Amino acid sequence: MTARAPRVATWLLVRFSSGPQGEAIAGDLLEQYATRNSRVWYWRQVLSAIRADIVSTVRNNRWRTAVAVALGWVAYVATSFPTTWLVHKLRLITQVWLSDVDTEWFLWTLRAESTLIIAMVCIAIGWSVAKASQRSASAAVCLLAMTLMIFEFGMIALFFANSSEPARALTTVEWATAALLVLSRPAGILLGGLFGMRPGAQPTSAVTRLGSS
Amino acid sequence: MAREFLGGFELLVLLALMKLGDDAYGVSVAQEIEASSGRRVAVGSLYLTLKRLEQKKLVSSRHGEPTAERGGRAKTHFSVTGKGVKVAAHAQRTLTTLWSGVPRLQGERA
Repeated sequence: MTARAPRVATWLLVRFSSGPQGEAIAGDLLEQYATRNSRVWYWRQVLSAIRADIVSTVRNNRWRTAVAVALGWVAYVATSFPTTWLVHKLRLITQVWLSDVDTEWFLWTLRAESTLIIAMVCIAIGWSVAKASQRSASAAVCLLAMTLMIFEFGMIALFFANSSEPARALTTVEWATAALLVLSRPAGILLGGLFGMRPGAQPTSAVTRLGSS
Repeated sequence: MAREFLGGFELLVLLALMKLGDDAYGVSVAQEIEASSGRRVAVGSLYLTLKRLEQKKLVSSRHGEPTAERGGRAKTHFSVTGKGVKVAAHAQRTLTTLWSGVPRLQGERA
């Protein structure tokens, strides 16, 4: 019996496709999956199709994509100040609320709280970028998330490099915190972007729409 | 009219479409290329090439009927346009001329 193809992969494929061919590719992959019956093969095909579509969209809509990514960064920097203010304000309230809990729990609550707020802001930015750059939304959102991840990774590396503490191996908790900080922002951008994208939006540069000739 | 030049994979796709005729669609084209060249074809890359060929007006497409085995999704059928046939014929002439002028390949054939 043939197992059902990964639905999340199909959903991502249709969602990230910049043209109506996303549905046709999904149909072709589902048809081939019936004989191949390999989830790994299916995921590889889906990721390869998304990558190919993003590269093509960037090539065909360079300026539109660049402007959308730049606007995303402007929004990220602009919202970082009120976000930081909000995080600090909420930290004060949390300190009053959780004055009785032990220090470790308290610190984790603060980390979770600030990560959640920042991720919410990133979701809003990702959604806005996708809405504003509808025709190259998938490429713009992915590029914004990627540049943000590189930036955050650089910031964390810089923090550890300039740390006054003597060099030592990081604990699992420290690795987890660093990973959470690096990944929560781009993950928020991608999540917001996914919901802001219109599936199958057609780039302007496509001279002929599939199926119109 | 400016002469269209085809990349290696574009030519493979165009020839596969010509061989398959009007019923050509993503899966059949991929299988045809894999069978004749031994090259594994990613469906995403194939559609990217088909889109590029369509932008060059060498290929046209139409939607078929949705089927259950495709999760209710319609096939997109592709066919080669008149311009596509001319460009493929030109590519054949160019390659034949070049091949005939390469002594080493002629020796291997003999």
